[in-house]
Amino acid sequence: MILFKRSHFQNFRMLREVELEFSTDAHRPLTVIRGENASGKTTILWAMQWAFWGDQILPEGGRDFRLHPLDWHRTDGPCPISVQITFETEVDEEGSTGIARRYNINRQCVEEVTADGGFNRHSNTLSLYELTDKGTQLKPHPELFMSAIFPQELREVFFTDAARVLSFTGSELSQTTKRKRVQDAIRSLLGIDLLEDSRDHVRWVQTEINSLLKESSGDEFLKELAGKIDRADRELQEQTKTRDSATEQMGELEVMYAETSSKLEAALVRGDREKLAGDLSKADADSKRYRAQVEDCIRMRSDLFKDDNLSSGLLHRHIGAALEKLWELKEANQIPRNFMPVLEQRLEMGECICGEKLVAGDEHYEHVRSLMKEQQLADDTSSRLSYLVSAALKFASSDTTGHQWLGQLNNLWQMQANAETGWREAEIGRRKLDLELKDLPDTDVNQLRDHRNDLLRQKERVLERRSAAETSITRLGRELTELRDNQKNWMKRENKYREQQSQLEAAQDLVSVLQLAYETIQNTKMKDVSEKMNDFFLRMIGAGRESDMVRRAEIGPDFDIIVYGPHQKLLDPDRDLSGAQRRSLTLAFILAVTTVSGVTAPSVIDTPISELSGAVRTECLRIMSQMSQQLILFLTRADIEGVQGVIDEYAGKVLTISNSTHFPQFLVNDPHEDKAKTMTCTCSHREFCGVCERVGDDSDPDLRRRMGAVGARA
Amino acid sequence: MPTSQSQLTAILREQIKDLEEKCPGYRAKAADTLARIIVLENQNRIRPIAIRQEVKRQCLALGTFLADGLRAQAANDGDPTETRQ
Repeated sequence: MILFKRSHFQNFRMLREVELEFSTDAHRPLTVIRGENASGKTTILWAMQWAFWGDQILPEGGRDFRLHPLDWHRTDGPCPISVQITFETEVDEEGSTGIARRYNINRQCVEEVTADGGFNRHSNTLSLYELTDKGTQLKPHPELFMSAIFPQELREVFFTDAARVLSFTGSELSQTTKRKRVQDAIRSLLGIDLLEDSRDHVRWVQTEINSLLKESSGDEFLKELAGKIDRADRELQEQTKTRDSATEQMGELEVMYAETSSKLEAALVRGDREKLAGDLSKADADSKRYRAQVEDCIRMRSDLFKDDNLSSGLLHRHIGAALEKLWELKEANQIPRNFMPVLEQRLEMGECICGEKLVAGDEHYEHVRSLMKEQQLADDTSSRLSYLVSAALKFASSDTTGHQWLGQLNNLWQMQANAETGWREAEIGRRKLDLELKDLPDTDVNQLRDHRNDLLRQKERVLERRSAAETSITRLGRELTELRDNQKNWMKRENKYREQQSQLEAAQDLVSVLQLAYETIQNTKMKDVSEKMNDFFLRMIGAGRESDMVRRAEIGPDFDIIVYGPHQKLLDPDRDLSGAQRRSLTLAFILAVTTVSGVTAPSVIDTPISELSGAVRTECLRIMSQMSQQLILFLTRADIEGVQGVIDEYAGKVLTISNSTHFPQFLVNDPHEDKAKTMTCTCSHREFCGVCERVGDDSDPDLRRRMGAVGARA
Repeated sequence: MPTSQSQLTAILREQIKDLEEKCPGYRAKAADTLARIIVLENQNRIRPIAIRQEVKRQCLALGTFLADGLRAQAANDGDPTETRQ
């Protein structure tokens, strides 16, 4: 909803200081600004458009289009120009609707007249204020806000002047331009653009979600994971059973082992057969060893009695004299004799010591031989004596007292005594052990020991099994934790996946609704616009009957405005329609598109019915007044003639503008203005006053002098 | 924006009537989401915003609403896979 409330113009061409108020009454949406030619109607239209869209809507972009009053002299200094429009809209700067807000737009610039009669324009600014009960608040980004509220493509819908009343149907426009204008108006007012943007943005979201979905789908992996967890779970149960069974078995083995150990200990307390046998064998060996020692001692003692020392000891006193004699012989070199070897050697050499030859058979030789025989006899004796000397010498050097021998004998006796003691003891021990062994009960310690060892081995095996099971349990527990964590994460992803699926589904739903709405508007609403336009158009021109040349108008699929004549014959609006009909067609289209769109927006139209006459004019004004939310019309006295009744019925506000320079030619009263300016007064279409009274008004039966009116309003 | 937002919303609501009520409140939530998107699009024209991200936020919120609704529905129907978190 957009409604103009008032506008204020300063130095915009001849609008030196003009303020207008517009009707906002829903039942009387019409505002009539009565003004004759050159009184400022079209200037007001330009000024309002300039306020919204700036220089770009002025001819040639406003470069040579003067805004300051024509009679502004450079000596008057810089000319400040401004147009303010106060309007109400439900759209706020956040884009939401619902609450009506009042805004004031103020476009300003300064123009300086140059010496050559030209001008410089500068300081062009646009300000937007929100008017609240608390005061005025300057709003940011006024251009954006204004372009959203009043898009330039709808300029022809909002503002239509005499020159552009054919902006959708004029013959001077190309078909492409006309189509584009119709299309822009329809798309913008019906919200097709908005729906398209929304749909495209949701489609983009759809694509975004879809790309995420491709990455996060993990359904198959989750199944595989569940299988792995199941298998690991089963294995864990098996291993737990194995461990528990091993633990139980271990307990039993422990008991058995303890029992066997007890039995064995008890058996060993009573006696160990094997140990006894070992001890017996050892005792036997000891006995044998001691016996051998005894025998050795006996033999050694026997040998000792054969020793020379014993003889020496015993004969010492008796052989002393002989020994002395022998010493004497030895001292005398009587013994030992060594003559024999020399003689034998000389005989063999065949030469005597004296040098004489010794030949067998000769005397000398025989002499030597006889000497040798004699010597041989003497040597036997001597030899024996020598032996005796030698022996005597041994006696002489030995212990002739016999103490040593006795010592040895004593030692042997002692050794033998010891050995005999050992032997005896060993024998006693052996016999004792032998008796013990014979008395030992028939308990098999070895068997017990074997059994215990077997139990120990079993325990070790069970322990190994339990240990392996526990290792597996630990491993499987770890694996399961990892798998379950993984599963949890994947399930989270899966949940996210499902959520994303839902998000995609939701986006798809939104797109489909937007698309359907788009198609509905394209098909249904377009058709509505077309039908409404046809209805308005035919009513305005009073056509459509069998006898009429214009039968029907519609908007084609390519946004062409098509007019049909008799027998569905296509009419060329440029050639086959009159100017009034083309104007009516444009007005009918504007009314249709705003009516169908439900947009509450003002239509500001300059002299729309000036070329219409009679019933067409009345009907046209009536329909426009009926169907518009806010209709601001600039009408001349001539336009008003014949439609006063319609104005009476629909006008919420009527005011009159006059050009001060029209005095005295057209205006009756002198406005006393030095400069050319547009003057306003509140005279309605049926009144005149001292400001607006024109020549002939006084005699016009449709007009009456407004009583109590004062002069021109600033 | 000259577009009649109320009329647009009315058209969208009319189309939403044919939308399947996939979980309790889904249709109403979708209508609300679309209205919000239209407001955002309007806002974007008046003062440019990160429109794609804003629209995405709205779509995802509707999707999450649907996912929650479906999960709750499945839980009520006794589907154990839908109750896992």
